[in-house]
Amino acid sequence: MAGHAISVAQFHADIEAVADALPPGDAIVNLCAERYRFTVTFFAACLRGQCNLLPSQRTPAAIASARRHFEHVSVVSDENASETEHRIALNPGSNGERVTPELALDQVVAMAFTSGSTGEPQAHPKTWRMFSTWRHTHLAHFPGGHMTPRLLISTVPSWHMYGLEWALLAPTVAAFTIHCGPDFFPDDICSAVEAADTEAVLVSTPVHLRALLKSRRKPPTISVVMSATAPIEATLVAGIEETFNADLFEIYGCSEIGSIASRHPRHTDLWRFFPCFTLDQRGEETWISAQEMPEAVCLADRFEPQADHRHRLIGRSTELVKIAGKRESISHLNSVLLSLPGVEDGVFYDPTRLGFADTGRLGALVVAPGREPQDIRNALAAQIDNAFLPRPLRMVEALPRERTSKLTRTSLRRFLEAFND
Amino acid sequence: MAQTPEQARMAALIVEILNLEDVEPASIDPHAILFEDEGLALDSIDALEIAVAIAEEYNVHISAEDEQTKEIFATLANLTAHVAQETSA
Repeated sequence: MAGHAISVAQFHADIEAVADALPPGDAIVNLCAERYRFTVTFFAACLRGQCNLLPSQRTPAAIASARRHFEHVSVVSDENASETEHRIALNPGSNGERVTPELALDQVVAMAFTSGSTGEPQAHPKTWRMFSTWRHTHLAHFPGGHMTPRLLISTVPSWHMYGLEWALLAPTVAAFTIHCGPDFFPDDICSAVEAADTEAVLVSTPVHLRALLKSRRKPPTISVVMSATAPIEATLVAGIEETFNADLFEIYGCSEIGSIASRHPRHTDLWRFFPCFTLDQRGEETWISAQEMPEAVCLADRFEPQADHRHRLIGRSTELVKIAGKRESISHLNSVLLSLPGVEDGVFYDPTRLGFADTGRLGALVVAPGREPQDIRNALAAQIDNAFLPRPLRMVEALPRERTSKLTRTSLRRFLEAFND
Repeated sequence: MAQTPEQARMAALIVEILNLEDVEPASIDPHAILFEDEGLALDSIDALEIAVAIAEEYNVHISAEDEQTKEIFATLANLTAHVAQETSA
C-alpha cells in the first residue's frame, strides 16, 4: 500500500524529538489532526510528565474549560502538516522491543472530560496503570485474537476515549498496524482496506457505518467491524456483516472509564464485561469498580446479571418510565422501534424529562422513509404494551444527533420545541 | 451572487440531504464558507452525508485522499466545480 510502515525505533525517535520540543508545563491539549502525529505527541507529553487533556469537543469553550485544570498548558497542533499517510506498525511480540516509553504506573497521563448535565465539564484523570490494565484485559477478548496481524482503520478520532483505546493504545501491544492515512469517507475506508496486505479491522460508529453501507463502491472484505458510542440497530448489523463479509463486534463504554463490555449482536443481546471490572447493583443503579479505578462509577445504564458472567442491558437508570402502573425502559422501546422494517432511526422520549408538559404518554420521533405513521404504530403495538405507544409519533427526516451519534437531551428538546411553535 | 444551474442543483441536494428545512437552496451564496462556525455551520458528519449523496447522485466518490478535500468542501462553488470536473473526466 501507499505510505510506509513506521518501525518501533522510528516511533521512539519521533516521540523523543517531540518531547524535547514541547514547552515546559503541566499539561497539553493535543490538537493534531493526523493520527500518527497525535500518537507521537500523546506519548511525548507522557515522557515529559505532562498530562494529555482530552476535551469532549474541540470548540474554543471546551478547550478553555479543560485548560483551567492546570496552570501551565500548551496547545500542540499539526495544522500545516502536509504528509497524510503513515502506518504505525508496532509488533512487540515479534522483536521484544519496548514500544511505549517507560512510565510510572501512577502517572496521570490523560484527562478525559464528560459534558455534565449542567455547567462545567467533569474531569476524569487516567493513570498509566488504567491504560496498561486495559491493554492486557481487553485485547485478549478481541475476535480472532489480538496477535493476528491486521490493519486497523478508525473513523473515530484518537482524542475520543473509544478511539484512544482502540486506535492508539491497541497497536502498541497487539499485532495491529494502525492506518494513519485518510479514514473518514466511505471511499477512504474502502481504499485502505483494499490496499491492506493483512485482514482489516474497522473501528467505527453507527453513523459512519450507515454511510459506509450506502456507499455504492464494490465492498471489500473487512474481517472485524467494531461499533460503539450509540446502540446499533439489528438491520445495520446484518447489512454490514453481509455486505463486507464482516464479524461485527459491539463495545459498551463511557468516557469516565472507557470500554467496559462487548458483545456480538448477531449472536446475543447479552453483554460480557471485561474481566477487570466488578459490577454491583445498588437499588436501580448499576455501579462498576476495578482495582485500578480510584472509586466506583455509577453507569448510566442498568444491567441485570444473567448466567455465565453475562449481563442484560435493562435500560438507562434514568430512562425507566412508569405509565399506567407499568414499568418500561426507553432503551428497550428504542430497540423495538429500531428493529421495525423500514425504520432507519428513531427515539422514544418522555416529555416531562425534557421540560415539556406531562401528557401522561411518551412521544417518539421516527425516521422511516416511505412508511406511514400508522404502519409504525401498528408494528409497535404488536410488540409493546399499548400504554407505551407514542403519542405523538412524528415522522421526521433525521434525528438531531451529534457527530459521535449521541442524542443529547438538549438537542432533542430544541428539536421538539420547533414542533411546538 | 447568483447560482449557476449546476450550483442550484447541488444546493438543493445539500438542503435535502441535511434536512435544512429552514434554508432556501437559492439563498446559499456559492462562495460562502459552508462548514465550521460560518455559513451553514456544517460539521464533519454533514460532510459524510454530502459525500454519500454526491456518490449516489453523480457517481463521484470523494475521499480525503483527494489532497484538496478541505478546499472541495469549502464552498458550494468548489463542490460543484469538483463534481463537474470528475464527471467530465
